[in-house]
Amino acid sequence: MSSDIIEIKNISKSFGNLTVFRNLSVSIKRDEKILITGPNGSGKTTLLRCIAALERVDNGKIIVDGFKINPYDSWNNVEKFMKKQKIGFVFQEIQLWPHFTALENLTKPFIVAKGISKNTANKMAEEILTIFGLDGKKYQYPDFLSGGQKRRLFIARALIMDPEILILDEITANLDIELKREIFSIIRKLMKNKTVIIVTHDMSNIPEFIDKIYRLEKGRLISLH
Amino acid sequence: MYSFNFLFIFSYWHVFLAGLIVTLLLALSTFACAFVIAIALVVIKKSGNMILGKIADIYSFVFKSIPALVMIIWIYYALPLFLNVALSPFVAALVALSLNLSPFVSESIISGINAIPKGQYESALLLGMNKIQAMRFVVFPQVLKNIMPDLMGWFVTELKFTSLASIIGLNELLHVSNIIISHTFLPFEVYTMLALIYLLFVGAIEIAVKRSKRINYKVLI
Repeated sequence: MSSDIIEIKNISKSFGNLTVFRNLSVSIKRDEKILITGPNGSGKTTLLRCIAALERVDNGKIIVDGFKINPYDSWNNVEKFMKKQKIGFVFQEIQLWPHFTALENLTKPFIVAKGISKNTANKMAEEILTIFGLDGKKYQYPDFLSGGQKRRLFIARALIMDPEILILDEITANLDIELKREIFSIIRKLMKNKTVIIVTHDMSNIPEFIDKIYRLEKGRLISLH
Repeated sequence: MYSFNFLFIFSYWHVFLAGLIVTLLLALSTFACAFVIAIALVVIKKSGNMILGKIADIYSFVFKSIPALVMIIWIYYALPLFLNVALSPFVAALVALSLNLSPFVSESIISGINAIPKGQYESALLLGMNKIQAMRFVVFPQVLKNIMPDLMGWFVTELKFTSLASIIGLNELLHVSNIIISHTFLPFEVYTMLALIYLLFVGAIEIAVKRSKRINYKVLI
């Protein structure tokens, strides 16, 4: 098994005339915790989306756990890869499903994608909800949760399938310091044996578990630490 | 001063009822057909196929531009000349009104889909659902909630548009009302009665629209 879980080799990505990055390369080791910073609009989110195959790279390739995820040959292969649940992705914008309760937001992927029974899924989801301090909210719909509760539930959903790679895109943006600490303390508990990529432009509150810091600027990734 | 006489209703209620049944049948079947065509238009427009997309755009432009009344007349009187088949007034009205309504319904559906943030769908894919599961379990219930008031609005419009079919002799509400007038010579009363029937049904639909906003469409999946 290769020690690099993510290999990014000479990737380029443009939107029309706007070049986001050119010949960008980086390798991320298994269980490594990295932080990517950079100014707004520098392409941090685009890089994460390329790693998760949500954006197609123009050149180069991205290999995740030995699987060439980008550019992909067929979407069916990507679906097969996603079914393995290697990547848990927490978007900057909270994307909870408003028509499902907090519990259903966690159990639906289990039941639908993995075919796990409702009872088993409920038990697993209830455990996670307890860890995230949301056990009293399991029958609430997202619209009735506070901002912090929504954020915690959203992270819980990304972790429910126990992914090997956890991608967190500006997850503490617009949160107060207390809530930032609380969220990072939960992530710290759950990140064992996981590769974690955190993207933020806020360098005032870097979690102590970070192994490497990169700065993405003008299409290049510079190692800071 | 004119004195209204509504006693005729006791003799003609069954005629109104027959007209009402035809009106509702036409409105429901037109709406169902228009919805199916609209779904096809949405699939084509969202498929990204340039040629099919252009054809769908032309279809929408043509049938949105031609008035429903012109379509009904043309399909009932002119189409048989070209196809050498006689269409019944009901089928002619059904075809004309379905073609006329479908572009509007497709636009409502597309707006409903576009209102769902892309991240809703993407997060479902990232959690291991395939595209069909993501659409069915995550996108579809939200789209339905978004478009239901619009769809019911189109149904109300369609219910009223069925009266246009009276021009080709379909025995819907307006046409049977005209027949009753020719027997009773009471146009004010008959048209008042007709207006009340439409009011009753449109009012019921308005209540349903309000209720539809509270429905969680996950029950359908």
